[in-house]
Amino acid sequence: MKRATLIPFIKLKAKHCDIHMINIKFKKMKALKYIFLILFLGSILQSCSDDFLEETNPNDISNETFWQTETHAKAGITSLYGALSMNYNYGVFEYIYMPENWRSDEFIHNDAGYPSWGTLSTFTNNANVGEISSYYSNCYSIISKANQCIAHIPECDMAQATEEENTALINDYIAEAKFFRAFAYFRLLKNFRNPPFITKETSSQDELYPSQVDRDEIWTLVIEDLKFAMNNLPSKTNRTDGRATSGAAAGYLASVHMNNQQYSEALPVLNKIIAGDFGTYDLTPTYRENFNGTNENNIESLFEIQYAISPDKWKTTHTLEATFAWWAVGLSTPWMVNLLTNSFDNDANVDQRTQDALYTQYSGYENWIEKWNMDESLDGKGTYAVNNLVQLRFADILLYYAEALGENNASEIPTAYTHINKIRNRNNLPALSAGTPAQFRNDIMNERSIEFCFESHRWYDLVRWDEAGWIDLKQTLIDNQKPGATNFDPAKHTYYPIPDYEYDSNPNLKRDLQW
Amino acid sequence: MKKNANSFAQFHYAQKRCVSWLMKLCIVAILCSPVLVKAAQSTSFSYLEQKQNTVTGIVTSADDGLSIPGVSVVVKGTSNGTSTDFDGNYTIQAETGQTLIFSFVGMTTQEVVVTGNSLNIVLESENLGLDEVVVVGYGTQKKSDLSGSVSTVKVDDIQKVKSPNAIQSLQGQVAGVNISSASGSPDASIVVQIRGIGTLNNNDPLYIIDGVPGRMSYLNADDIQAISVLKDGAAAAIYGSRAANGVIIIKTKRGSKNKETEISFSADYSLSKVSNEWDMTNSEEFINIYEQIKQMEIDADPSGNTDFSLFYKNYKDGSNKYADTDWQDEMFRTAVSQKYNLRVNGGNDNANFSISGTYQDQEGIMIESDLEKYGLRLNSDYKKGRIKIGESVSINRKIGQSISTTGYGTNYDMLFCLPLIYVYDDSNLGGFGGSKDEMGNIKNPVGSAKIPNTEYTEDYVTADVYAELEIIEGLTYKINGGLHTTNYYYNSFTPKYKMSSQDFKDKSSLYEFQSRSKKWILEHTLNYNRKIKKHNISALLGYTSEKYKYNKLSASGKEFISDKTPVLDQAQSEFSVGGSQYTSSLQSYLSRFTYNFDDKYYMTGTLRRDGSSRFGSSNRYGNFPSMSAGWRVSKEEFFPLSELINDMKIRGSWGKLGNQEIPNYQYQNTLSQGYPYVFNGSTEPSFGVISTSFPNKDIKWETTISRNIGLDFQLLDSKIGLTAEYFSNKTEDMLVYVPIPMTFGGSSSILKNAGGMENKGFEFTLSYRKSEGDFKYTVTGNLSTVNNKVISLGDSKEAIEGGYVGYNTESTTKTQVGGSVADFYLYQTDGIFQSTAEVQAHSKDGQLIQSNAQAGDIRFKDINNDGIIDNEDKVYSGSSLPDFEYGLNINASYKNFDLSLYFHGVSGNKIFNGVKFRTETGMGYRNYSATTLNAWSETNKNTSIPRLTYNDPNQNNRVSTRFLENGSFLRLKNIQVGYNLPKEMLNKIGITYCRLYASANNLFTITDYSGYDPEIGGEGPSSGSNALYWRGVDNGTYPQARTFNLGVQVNF
Repeated sequence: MKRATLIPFIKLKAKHCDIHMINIKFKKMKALKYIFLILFLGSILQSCSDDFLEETNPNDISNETFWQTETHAKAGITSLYGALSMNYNYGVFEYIYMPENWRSDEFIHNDAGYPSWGTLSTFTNNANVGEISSYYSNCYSIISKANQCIAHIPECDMAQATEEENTALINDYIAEAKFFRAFAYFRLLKNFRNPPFITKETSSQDELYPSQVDRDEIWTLVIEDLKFAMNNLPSKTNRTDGRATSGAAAGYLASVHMNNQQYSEALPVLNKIIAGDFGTYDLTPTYRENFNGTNENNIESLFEIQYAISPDKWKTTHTLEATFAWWAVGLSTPWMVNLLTNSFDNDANVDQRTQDALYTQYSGYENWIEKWNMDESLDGKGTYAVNNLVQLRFADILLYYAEALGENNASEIPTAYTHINKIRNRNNLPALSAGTPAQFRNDIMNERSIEFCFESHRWYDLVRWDEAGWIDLKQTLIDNQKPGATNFDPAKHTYYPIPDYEYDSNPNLKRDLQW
Repeated sequence: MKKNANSFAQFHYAQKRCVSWLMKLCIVAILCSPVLVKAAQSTSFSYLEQKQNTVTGIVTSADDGLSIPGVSVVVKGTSNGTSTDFDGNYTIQAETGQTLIFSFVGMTTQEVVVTGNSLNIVLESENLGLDEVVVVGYGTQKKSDLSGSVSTVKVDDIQKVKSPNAIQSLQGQVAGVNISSASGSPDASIVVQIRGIGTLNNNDPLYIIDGVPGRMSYLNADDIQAISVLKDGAAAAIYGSRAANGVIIIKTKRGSKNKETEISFSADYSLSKVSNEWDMTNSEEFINIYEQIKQMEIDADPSGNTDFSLFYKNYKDGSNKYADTDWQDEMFRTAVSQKYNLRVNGGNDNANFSISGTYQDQEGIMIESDLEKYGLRLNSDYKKGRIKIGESVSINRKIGQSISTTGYGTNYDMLFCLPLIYVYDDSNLGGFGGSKDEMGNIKNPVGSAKIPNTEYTEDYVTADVYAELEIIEGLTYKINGGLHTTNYYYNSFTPKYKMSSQDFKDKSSLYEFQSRSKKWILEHTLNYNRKIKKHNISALLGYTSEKYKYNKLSASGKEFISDKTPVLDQAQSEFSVGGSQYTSSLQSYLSRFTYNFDDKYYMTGTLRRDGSSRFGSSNRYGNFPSMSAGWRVSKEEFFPLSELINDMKIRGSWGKLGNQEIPNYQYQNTLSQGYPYVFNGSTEPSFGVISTSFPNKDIKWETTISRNIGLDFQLLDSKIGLTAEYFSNKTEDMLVYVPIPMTFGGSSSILKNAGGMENKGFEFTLSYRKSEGDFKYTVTGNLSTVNNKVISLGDSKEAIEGGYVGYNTESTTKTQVGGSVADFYLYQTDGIFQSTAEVQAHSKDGQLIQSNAQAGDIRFKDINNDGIIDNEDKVYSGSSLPDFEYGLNINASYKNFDLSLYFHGVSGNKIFNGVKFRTETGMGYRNYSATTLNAWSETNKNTSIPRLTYNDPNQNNRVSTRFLENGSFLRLKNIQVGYNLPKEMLNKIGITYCRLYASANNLFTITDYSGYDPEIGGEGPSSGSNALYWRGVDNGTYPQARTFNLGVQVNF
């Protein structure tokens, strides 16, 4: 124990003792005794150990003391949900919802106090809008956490009876992390042309500076991760706390394939979801209960972000209701108002979905958005909204299925219509009869734009339909009188720019020449 | 109020008990020590052969030829001693061949072998020149042998300034050492910078007290025997990783050998006052300004809803009486302070001791800021044959209370508080007045200071023990062990009170905080000194290890049953506890080799290898070498000017120094709590845990390469001494936060050794001594310059902004590559628009540059010529770093009178007057600087104060050069007149020495600066902010006091 620190001294001493002995011989032996006495006392005082300079931080947990038990694995995974919810102050509205929606032809920016938000909406933004940076960094925050979970969860002892059960539980947690990694990369791929790619925990300074890769390389990872998640996560029957399920993973896998016009790959996955392979999914009786907080994590829901009143309420709630219903930061475009208010049900009433989305009951306020309002019966109404934000629901699966069927094989178009009509039927809308392939595409586009209005789908639908050759994105924006549509330059504005800060701090990035 | 009186009484009771406890300890120690010494003496007695004869003689002074009474005469190696009588005569029993030792304060001790019955002695005044011995790292050296840069201070000079912190007295005494007090509060931290700002991180020098690192703020100035400042790499590198900011070495007084026990007592009593107050408006003047501003607002509001405030109407019609409070008068006071010191010392050839006790009670010039210090120190050495054992033990206690003075503290409120508000108001809970609702939230500073019952106590105990063995002649082994403990306890109880509808507490609260730190240190050193003919060799080898442990605990609670029971057991709600701890350790190997040939050529090399727990395994150890060489040219035969220059030496050095003062565990990965998430079916939030920061495993020492060239002269038979030095210090690997890409997914920067800083400068010290008959005087002056330059801030191109002077204001300073630390970057004012025509003329391409301006507003320079005034127009406007800093000490004596003057000055620095910035603005309900009365108007055009407005459309109140002032000053830091009572008179009553003195600190200051005091220490706005970026920004700092002292020093 005491050796390490005393050795240098003893060596030193020994040398001088020799000289000492030779020079002064016997009569100074008394003095020598003192030396050893002092030395002895010295070594008592010096209560040191082998690694005298090794001090561990007792105030914080480190990777060395963490990742030991299932509790740790779960805490790691929970950090992913925290990052997902972005639930501090205006977080989820400003940093997620707005970047995902403001470009679409559904929205008009209506708050002069935040001119930079307006530039997103009119395609006049520069590369350094804070909301783009935040969206971008939130995606990587999820990826970083997921990569850490994937790296360290296998180190945890899950304390299961058998090795197989242990492995199964580890795989369950890893599947959840992979779900999140795919989710975040999916967001990045939909919004950035050329995002940097990281698949491992950052363990050296070099790894702080990742490079960009071919988009397909990232798509491959997203699909692999989602497949792993789909095969290893429990179904919603066994997981009711709102965490990711096999159904959610399957839904996003289908969504990824649909985004990339891979209809034949999407079809079997969609089939399984509809067949109930990942638990029972169906449409809810009413449209409204998907949004207003009265029936959360319902039968229609594949994945939603949970919000609730908690002691730190501004950290577990969102502001979507206040943003639209109180401050009207964003309004519906006239085109969208027109589309919604001209959809009528069998009783010649305005489509219930329209009534749930806009303030149709107040004349002059028809373009105010009501969709994210909480039900009157719920507590905490107002700034601190607690209604969950649904990300993916069964209606989407049905319409994807219809679209994939028809696009994969025109002869399936009549079958496809039965699925479209299921959606229409919920709100007592007249059934559509099967039309030509062109009519089919129009019906799909029309149905999706009404069913998913203001739900962060429209812009990405427009982009993928543009890529599939259904529409010309710019022309559609112009036709639908999106303010600022003429500024839209497809090569530049289809994706967001990577913020300048990233280029400044990472020498490995290649700049998008458009920006 | 009653409660306050009560606690005051309790406090004093506690204080009395403490004093009595200390006094008892003192008495016990004093009683015991002579016994120890006696014991040591008796051993030496036993083998003395008693074959005596009587030796008589007279002792005279070489200076004036007069006899000296009271000179100690001792037979060497015995306790046999006497002292000279009034006429300088002595009689002693001594054997032929024995040695007599003659010693007297201020004179060189002489040893003379007895050859007969008569021996007359002439004592020389102590010469502090060439033969002066100075303390250096792990040893002492003759001043003439130094080849590195070491400055020493005459201890008498610093003891004259009765600062609560001894280090503050060094201000202006040493070339190249910049000292400023963070504030004038008695327990303010002292900022010491040796040779400039070497890093953006910790700039504190290392303090070595009696050989081991210690805390300077506890040291009693009267205990100090010698101070050395190690300024360059060659001198400091022996302290390796802690030496980059310089090292200050202090040796405390030990008992004199072969001297009769001596008791010294000193008492000092002082009165302090603020030397300069801000001129603020009184109630009438305030109402007058308010009226003008409000009238403008009313005129501008078309709706007609704007109206005068209620307080204005009430004031005008006299229906509601308002105060006319001068808040500075309420907050400042004449502070009474006292200091007592008692020291007993003595010894024989084999043992010596020194015990001193001190008590200091220092009142601050602001209410509720007091400091009491108790100290007891015991130093003794025992020798037996080749072995020497000794110890230095100190017990210190500090009890203080302090109003909040950091940032926008109570001192800030004092200036802003409206004169209309009453200090006291019996109808309010707690008894203090407050603002009316219509005045907004203005804090009554007196109430803020007096309501909370806050006090802290800190005990600092050090025990250092050494044993030394002379193995063979010249070779000494020494082991040194020390234990240092600090216990800190803070408590603050705030009873329920109400001063206004916005400033109240409806729950009483108590916060307690305790911390404890322990340090042990163990050192082994081997020292070898040998002189072989003309070769002088000395070598040092050593091994040291140190461990430091710190832990803290805090607890708080609210709603006490009674204000009389302010203990946590009595709290009813909101309990909270917290705590943390850390440990750090250091392990080092050190060596030094010095060689000089014939006192002509000098060479020194040192090498230290330090290992620190603060760094990861890859960079845990650092090597810190240094080299220096000197050449005493005057010893060469060819040296031509030896008549004029009796000594001349050229020296140069190079050294590598480290700075390890960074937080612990920086290289270790830590996990943090994520945002909460409430899972479905749960009502409680769950928190994730994950790593979001990237620990830099390669983090290492900041290193400073120090270069120094020096010239030492002694002219005209050492009457004039001159030292000139040039230094160049370059800090590499400075720790800076470097931005990392967002793709990391966590923190946005990492701490990296990527920055650089450079300091270059000259230092001059000149001394002159002269005596003409009874009139003797010495003059010592020093002057130093430092040129500071930021070489690199890592990958970041961004400037570090700081020096904010309020909430939501722009930065006043920028630190960027190529400039120096915290350069001022401000808008440039260009006078006042005297007419609308002038506003129109200030245009670019037909567009008005200041379109919102009117006559009476300030014209700003459009520096980048883009037609608008914005952030881009803020340009370099000066630096808070002086061009040069100087000090001057004059000591003179005539017969029994002595006089000393000590000046300190800086020149060429700028101060941003943040108080003026805040009080010359016409916005908000707060008091105005009286200069605002001189605002521009159509009838008062000859002024530099812009017109009054209610909304400042032209933003006259930007951070502009309007508030930047010349910070140069010359200050008479201390003047002291002393009188030595005649010895003839004193000896009759058994007193050997008695001096009475009167002195004054900060008697006058010559400066253009309009604030309280140009000496602003640079406190950041909060404890977390880096004060470096606030250097030179005056946020209303608690000012330095002007102090008058009376005191007496007695030896018997």
